[in-house]
Amino acid sequence: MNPVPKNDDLNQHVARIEDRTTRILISSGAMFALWQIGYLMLFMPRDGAPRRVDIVAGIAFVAWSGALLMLLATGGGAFRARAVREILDDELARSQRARAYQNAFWVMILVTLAAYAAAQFVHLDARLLAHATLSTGVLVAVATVAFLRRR
Amino acid sequence: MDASELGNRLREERVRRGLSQADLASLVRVSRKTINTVENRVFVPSAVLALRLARALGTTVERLFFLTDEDS
Repeated sequence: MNPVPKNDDLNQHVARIEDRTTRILISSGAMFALWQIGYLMLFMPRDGAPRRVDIVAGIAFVAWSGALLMLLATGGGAFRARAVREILDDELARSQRARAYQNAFWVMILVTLAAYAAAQFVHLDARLLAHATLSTGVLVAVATVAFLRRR
Repeated sequence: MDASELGNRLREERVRRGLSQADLASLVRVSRKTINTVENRVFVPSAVLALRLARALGTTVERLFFLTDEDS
């Protein structure tokens, strides 16, 4: 765990972590969005047993989603000193995170409703549905926090 | 609550005491960005944070915050 900076430096230290976290959220979120195109083209569920590369891509997707959600939940404060974590998780940060989760929830509901409607007419693969729901949820949450932090 | 409904005199009270946003943030244990967003009426603070801000600035919540549909 990193040492606690002196009081005067604490806010500068926190500001640097916040800026870095915002940059990571924006760049990693954009790459995550782009990666979905490749994923859907190359590793879409197909007839027959999944290839090893499909399984690896699936694990990478889940791990990347988890990393982004972890970054959102901690604000980049994981493994930091308690004083730093408290400021990174202050009222504004909690409010932004709540808004992000709220937006993600509604988008995931809409995706699920759309999938439910489409499933009345065409066969939809469960893995594809889970992928679409999780991807949109993560992306909307990340985009919301990135937008709110830039205000 | 819409942030535009809540006015504040945070900036003038802070400057009057010679404090920077970072100084005030350290006093109330929040980030500088939180102070900035409250001052710019982007974020509505909770009652607890409003009380902590008032205490740090040696004033009252009523002096620090007001509804914008009231005459300030």
